[in-house]
Amino acid sequence: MRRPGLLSASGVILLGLIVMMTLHEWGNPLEGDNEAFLSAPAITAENIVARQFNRDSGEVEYRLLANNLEQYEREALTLLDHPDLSLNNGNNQWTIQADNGEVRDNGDLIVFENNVEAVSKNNGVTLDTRELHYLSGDRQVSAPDTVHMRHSEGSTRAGSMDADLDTGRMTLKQGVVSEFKGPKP
Amino acid sequence: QSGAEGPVEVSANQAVFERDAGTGVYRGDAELIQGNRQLNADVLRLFTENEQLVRVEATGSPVRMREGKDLNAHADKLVYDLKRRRLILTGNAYVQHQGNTFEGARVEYDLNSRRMDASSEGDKRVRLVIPAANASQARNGDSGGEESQNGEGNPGEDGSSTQSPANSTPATAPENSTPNDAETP
Repeated sequence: MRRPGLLSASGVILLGLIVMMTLHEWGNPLEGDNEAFLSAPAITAENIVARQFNRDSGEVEYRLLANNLEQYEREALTLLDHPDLSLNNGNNQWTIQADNGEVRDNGDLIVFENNVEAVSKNNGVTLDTRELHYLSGDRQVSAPDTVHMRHSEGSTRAGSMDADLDTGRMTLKQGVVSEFKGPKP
Repeated sequence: QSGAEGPVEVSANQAVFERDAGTGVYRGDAELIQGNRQLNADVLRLFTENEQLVRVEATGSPVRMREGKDLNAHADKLVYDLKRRRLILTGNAYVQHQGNTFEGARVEYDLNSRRMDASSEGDKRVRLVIPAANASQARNGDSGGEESQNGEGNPGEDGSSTQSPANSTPATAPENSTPNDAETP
């Protein structure tokens, strides 16, 4: 006489397996479609104007323009075409423009790439480089590559640059060459 | 006029600019070139005023300066005042100009008049050495400039010695030199 318990146990296990396989198949459509879905931009926008406000003072920390924008959910990354950033800190205003830009870490880091030009009208400084990082939280700007600067006293070239926008202190490394106009008679 | 009044080129391993103070500190194999004038130091501290480079403070071990074949100087510290066109060497100051050598705690050199003021401090006395060739050339009536009356360098009460190299006469270190406080620039 067969023992009923055994039959029903194997039946339950078999049924469970079938259900799990069905759920797995259903939860994961074809792998290709999924990758396409995740790698597509979540948001695209054109002629955008974005502003970031200071968490404490509530003032505008920076205003960012761009021809168009693509935001990617998975990488938490926003790509910009022809970004134009205006920073305002009392007597220290800078505008930074480039061919391309990336916004990372929820807007705390903006990377400018290709034909980057930073201008500070009131300091009389223009800086050209290939890549520039703006850390809005720390109010720091850094350039990992060669920078060319034109300033009211002349011009300066260096291998890399870090600047603190609040203190106005700029550190140039990897070789620095400056040329100053001759003294006026 | 040594033709060294054109633009000034400054180079170093790295530099720090302080916007508010209007200063730039260049460190590591620092070099300044202006026409045929060349200055080599460990640190060059540059001061700007009204969009112009007005003063350079060089420190080194030692600071070395050359100007064509005429001028060769070294000291612990050298201040180049571009506006007043003066060099102030302090700390084991040594200047060789057209064969004449001046040593003292402090030597001031006027780039316009080519006049040299050397002064002592503590036990560091002034030492002037004028080679015979230069001396006989002076005796043969080179006109112009300051002429020492008594064949000695002009020992001022403060132990300084003033000499205009173009028509110098044999001089010995002033015996009665009394130490004076070197004026810190």
